[in-house]
Amino acid sequence: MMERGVVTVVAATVLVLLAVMALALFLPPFLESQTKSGEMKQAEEVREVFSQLQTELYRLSQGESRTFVFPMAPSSFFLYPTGNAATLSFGARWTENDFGRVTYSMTTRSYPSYTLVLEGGGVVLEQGRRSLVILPPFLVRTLDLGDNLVRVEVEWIYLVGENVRVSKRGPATLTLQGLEERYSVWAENEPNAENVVVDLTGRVEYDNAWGRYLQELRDELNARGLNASASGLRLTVSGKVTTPGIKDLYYFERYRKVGVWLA
Amino acid sequence: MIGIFTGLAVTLYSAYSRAASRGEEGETLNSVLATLLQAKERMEALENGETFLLSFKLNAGGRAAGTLWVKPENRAKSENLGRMGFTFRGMEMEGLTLVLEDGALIRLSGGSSDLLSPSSLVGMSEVRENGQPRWLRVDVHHLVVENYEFQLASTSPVSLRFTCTSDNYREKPENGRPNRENVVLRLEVSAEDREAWRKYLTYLVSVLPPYYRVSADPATLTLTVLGFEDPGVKDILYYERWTRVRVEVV
Repeated sequence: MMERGVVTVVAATVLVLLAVMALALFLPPFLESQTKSGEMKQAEEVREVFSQLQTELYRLSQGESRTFVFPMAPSSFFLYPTGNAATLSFGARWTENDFGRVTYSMTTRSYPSYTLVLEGGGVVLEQGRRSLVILPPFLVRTLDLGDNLVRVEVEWIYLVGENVRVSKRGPATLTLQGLEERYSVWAENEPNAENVVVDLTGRVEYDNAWGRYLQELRDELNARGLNASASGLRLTVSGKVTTPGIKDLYYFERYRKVGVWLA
Repeated sequence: MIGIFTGLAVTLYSAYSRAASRGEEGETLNSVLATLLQAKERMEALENGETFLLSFKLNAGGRAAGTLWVKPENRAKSENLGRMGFTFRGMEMEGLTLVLEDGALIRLSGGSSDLLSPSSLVGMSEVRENGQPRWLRVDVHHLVVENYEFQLASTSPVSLRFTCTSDNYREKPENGRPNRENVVLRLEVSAEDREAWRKYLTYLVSVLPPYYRVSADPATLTLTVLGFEDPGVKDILYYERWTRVRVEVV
């Protein structure tokens, strides 16, 4: 009788030890995979929100508003938090031409940490020391009018608001409000420019990404025969006629001011 | 042995149940927040006779997560323009309330109010001539919640119908000429939401160009717009629009 009792206790102890060993063996990789999938899901959701933000930025009329909800942390597994809280901030330097920017920074555990930024109507991804315009803005639009005449429209988007920084695990909201939109330069019945200069100097924070983007834009415009050149953060579009003194561009400059509220 | 296993199982189950309920409450919070934001945007765009339906998730798992309520405009007391919102009941978010008032989404928690999404109550723009600002246009758009008062809790989603019962201008310029020298707007809002509205006024003043000469008095919730010109000159095109919305359970 005594022996049976001892056997039961030993067997149960062995079983518990086995269970603990199995848990110690399989739990870390399982939690790691949960962390990875949570981070991936969050990154996809955030990218989708930025894509919507950019689309709505160009659709927003004066007086209208749109609100977006940002996931700020990957969902927890059981009681194990699978990631840190992200930081969402709005910032503008108090200089006349600064575009202002919404920045979402996420420090991740498994995948490389990343920062997504909405500035100048485009979305920039910064990862490690590299930055890239992943959703380009509608900065320069051109239309061939025939007879070597071209319509060039440049659209500047300014984000304004109070400098705010939000970091929490619950959802954060971002509201865009259309404050002002107008043409600051326009052509009436005849061409009004020999060339158009788009200068981002002092307006953006991610110089390298925007410099590369302007080079891509230059190549695209040159492929259409519009004689563009790029140097640093300056892009010059000369149009089809490069002879000095001849105006061949109908130049329109549009200005859009959008209010940003974060909570 | 049985005691140890039972104790372990109870501890694990209680931890699991707490985590699961936190997850469900989080899901409900996200869903209610998104639906109230939709309601806000669609109410702002409503015109006479138009209607829309929205489904609210009111449950966290198998239980009611809180109370959805509508408090209509109190004309007798003239204290506010009507509000609707959701008050959470649960372990993690007990007492958290999301409120929609005059186009603003506000969070009430622990006795303080925070502005989650500002209202489109006030809009301003320049009327230009030959590229130069000549007049200032000021749009004030109030959203009034009317109908009967109700509150409900449910373990399943509930649909609400929003109907615009009237949408008109109480004041607007005639023949396109300015009708105001200045605009003074005093906000009539619920006492518990005042802090959030103070933040709204501060934000509004910060994003508008200084030459509009806009100032706010947070203590009295008053916004003053002086426009470009000195007193005696009407240079403001003032539009005051009132949209009344009825909210019903379908």
